[in-house]
Amino acid sequence: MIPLRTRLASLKKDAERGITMVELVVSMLLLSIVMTIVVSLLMSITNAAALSQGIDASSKTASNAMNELAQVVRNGATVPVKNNIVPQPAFVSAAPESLTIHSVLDSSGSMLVPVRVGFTVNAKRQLIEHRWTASVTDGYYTWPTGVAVTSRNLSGSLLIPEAGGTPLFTYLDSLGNRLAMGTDNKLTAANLAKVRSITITMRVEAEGGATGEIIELVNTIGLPNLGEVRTG
Amino acid sequence: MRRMRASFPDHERDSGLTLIELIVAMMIFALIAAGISVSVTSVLSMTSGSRARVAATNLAASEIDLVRSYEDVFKVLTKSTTKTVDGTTFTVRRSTSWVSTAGTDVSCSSAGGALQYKRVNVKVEWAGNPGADVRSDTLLTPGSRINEPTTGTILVSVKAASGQGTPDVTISAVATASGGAITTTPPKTDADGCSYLLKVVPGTYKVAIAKAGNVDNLHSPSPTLSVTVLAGQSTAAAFAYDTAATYNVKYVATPAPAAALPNAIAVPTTVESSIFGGGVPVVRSLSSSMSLFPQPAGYQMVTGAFAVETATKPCTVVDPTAWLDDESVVPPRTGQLPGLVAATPPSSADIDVPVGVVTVKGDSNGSRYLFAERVTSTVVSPTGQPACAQPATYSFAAQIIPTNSNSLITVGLPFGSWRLYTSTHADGRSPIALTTTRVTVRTSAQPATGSSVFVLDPRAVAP
Repeated sequence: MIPLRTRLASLKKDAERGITMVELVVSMLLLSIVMTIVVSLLMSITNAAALSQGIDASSKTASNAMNELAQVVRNGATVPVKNNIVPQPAFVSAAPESLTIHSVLDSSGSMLVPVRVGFTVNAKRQLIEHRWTASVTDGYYTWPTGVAVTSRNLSGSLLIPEAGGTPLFTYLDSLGNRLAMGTDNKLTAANLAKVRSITITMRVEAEGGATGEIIELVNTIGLPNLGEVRTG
Repeated sequence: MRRMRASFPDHERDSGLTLIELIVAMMIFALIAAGISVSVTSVLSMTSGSRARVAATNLAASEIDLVRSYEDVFKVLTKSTTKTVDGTTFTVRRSTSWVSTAGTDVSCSSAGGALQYKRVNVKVEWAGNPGADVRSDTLLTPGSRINEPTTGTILVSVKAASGQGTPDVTISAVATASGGAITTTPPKTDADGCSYLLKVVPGTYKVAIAKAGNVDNLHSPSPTLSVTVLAGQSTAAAFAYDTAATYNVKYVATPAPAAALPNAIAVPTTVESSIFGGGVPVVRSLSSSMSLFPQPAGYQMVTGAFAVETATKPCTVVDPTAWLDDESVVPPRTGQLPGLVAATPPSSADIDVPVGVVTVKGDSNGSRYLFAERVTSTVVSPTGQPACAQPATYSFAAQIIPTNSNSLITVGLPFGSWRLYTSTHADGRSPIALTTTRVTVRTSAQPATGSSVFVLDPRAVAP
């Protein structure tokens, strides 16, 4: 048995010895491995959170925009004209990325109030809704030039056009056939009268989100007020 | 001070971490890291799931919008379509059913209360969906009353062999007792195999269906069904009707003859065949190519008209399996049917039809016509031959008997006992009975010399 004094002495000597070079290198190596793991974990969590947030924001905006579009299009209707048996058509203009329609969105008492609503995509690729307030004469609604316009950003986000893909608005006739655009990339007056449903293909990327969090929604909305039966 | 140092030795303070402590710390870290990565993965999959769900909800809404824009509720049918949105393929399944006044689903193949409204369920499915499918439902009511308290409805259901509906079948109905005239032409069956005759005056009607190339489960190309229409009720007329399968008939001498037959088997010009395929055998006239209902299990066929034992005039003798086993020999001789043969349209199949075979020698006395007459019996004979009380006389193709007395003809007949006659006249006047001198039974034992009754026995030692 080693005497206690000797053992204490040797221990005291060990404690004051410090760390060797090998110990330092090994501990640095270990620390770097642990740090790598921790940092990569943190990075992936951050990425996942950003991605989820982006997709979530995209789906919320896309759903909101789609709901608004669907409501306006579904309520699309012709507007009676004073002293004329031919009403104003439901569609004022229709193009792959813009649409102006008369829609019964408001009602005051027993009266159904039509509103002229336009959707356009601006230079920043945001979907903008315009509403023209009608002027009423003898219960007939007209929209003379210069009436008040209210605008709002519907998508609040970017609408990415798919390369060579389906445009935002596709116009279909009563049999579900696609109506071709005219020479100025708009529907002709004859074709405007044939529109019975619109396929909306919306690709939305939320503002502020990282690139790649695109959500695509497709919805075909009919115009039951136009009377003619749709079979496709 | 010295005492304090002694009580708190240097070696304890400077000892650092042991290996055990390090391992435990790493394990705890690993557990936490694993937990975090699992939750990150689940968040990612849930996010992508919710993205697909938003797209699916829009597709379901669009489908509901479509069904609501049909004017004729009868044209809204069960249908399934696929749509690709953003690289994900969605399957939109629309299922529809009429709902009766009692609030239960009405299938067009079963009678029930009056049709009230149509239920439409839309279900959107996609691959990799972690949660429940997206569902959307609506109810459609017809634009006008489809029934009145004083009239009834005939629901016509036409199903194929697979159980699915047969579309484009023409429906017609005529009143046979106390009904009214059907003024509106009933529509052809839809994709579900359903057609509806609305506002039918109560009475008894004969419903007939027709479609080129189709037969019903009893192999009839134009089946009919008698239904009784009651006021305020719907009556079902259910048919099984599908594209006919073609069976090419091949006559097989049964049991296999000891010597090769001299020439091809000639069968009577107007002989029936019994088609076995589950249930009571169906009797149809035999031709070289039979158009039968495409039952997946297939059929067995024999010549001759089968009639069950309980019938007024039973005739089970044509069925080889009805013959009693002959225990006088070891191993016993038994009657067997050939295996089931199934044909799927549009392809055809060869079906073996067992016949008993005799050969008849020619003559030089000018009797060119051959006739076969069944020897009827109402009891099972001691040899194990089943009863047949159905008389039958078959004629063969004109002038079948050869002029040379050394020439032979080979004749196929249903199983049982037969007498054979020749005649100089096509109508069989003044027949001459044939005996063993001119007739040889090829497929079973030859009767005693001079006998004019020939027994065609299907029994053979089982292979």
